[in-house]
Amino acid sequence: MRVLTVEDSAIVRKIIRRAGEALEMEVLEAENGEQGYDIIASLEGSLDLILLDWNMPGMSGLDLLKMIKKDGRYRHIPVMMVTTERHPEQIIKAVQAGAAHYMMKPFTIDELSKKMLECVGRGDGHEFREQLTNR
Amino acid sequence: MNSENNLRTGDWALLCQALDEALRTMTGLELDWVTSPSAEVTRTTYAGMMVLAAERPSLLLIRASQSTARMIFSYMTGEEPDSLGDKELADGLCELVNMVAGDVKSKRTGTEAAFELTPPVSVQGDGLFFRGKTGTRVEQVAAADAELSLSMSLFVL
Repeated sequence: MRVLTVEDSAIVRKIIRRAGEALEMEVLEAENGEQGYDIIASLEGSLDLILLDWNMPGMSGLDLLKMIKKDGRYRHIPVMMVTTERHPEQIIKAVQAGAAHYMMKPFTIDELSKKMLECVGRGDGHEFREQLTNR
Repeated sequence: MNSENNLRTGDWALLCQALDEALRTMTGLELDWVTSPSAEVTRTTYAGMMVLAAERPSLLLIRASQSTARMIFSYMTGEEPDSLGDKELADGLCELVNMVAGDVKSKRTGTEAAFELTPPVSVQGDGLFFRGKTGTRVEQVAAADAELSLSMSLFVL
């Protein structure tokens, strides 16, 4: 399995790499949205999961999420937002844009690993959407 | 809770809770904190800071010595402390300040005390001091453990 993390913090990328490698995933890294999009395009969407930070210099994670979900070549890739944005309105905005899951910082490695597995096992974030609907 | 003082006091309590939670969740560290009345942040090596932009803006700063920063981010990443370089440690302090301020921002969104955040900035160097302009109010807590050099400060306009 191949996962891409788009995250401007080197420390958080290391944490995500640690979680991904423990799950025997190949972890690719991008420091910003533009670099992330280039990797997605160069791999022609051959990714099993994308983890996006929300607030990054330049293109935001939400902007990149919208680009991915508008593009038929990449739309199938589950995307999880990994962010400090925890206000319900922001979560709903991400889900409406097509996020399969949402990880709020701070998090434990176990929580992150669990959600990564849920994303690749399920793909469309069905249970997560149900949780939001039932709030 | 409408007076500026009360709002700021409330923010400070939330920021302290958020720091405690971030460290406990990301590293497993459960720290005791002491209030430090000094308006001067003592000698430090790394600091992450961010402006809480509101009608009366404030500056949030988290600082650590090299050994403390290495320990914290080693716990976070699972990497050996000595393998973490200056850039990563400074970046880590930025991320920590981002998590702490982001947590409180979310709690304040939609209220009269809402604020925005600027991008976090890190500072790195030997023996850095941070001092507020005379008259600036400073809230400050420091890790109680004498072996740790870690503190959080809020400079309030």
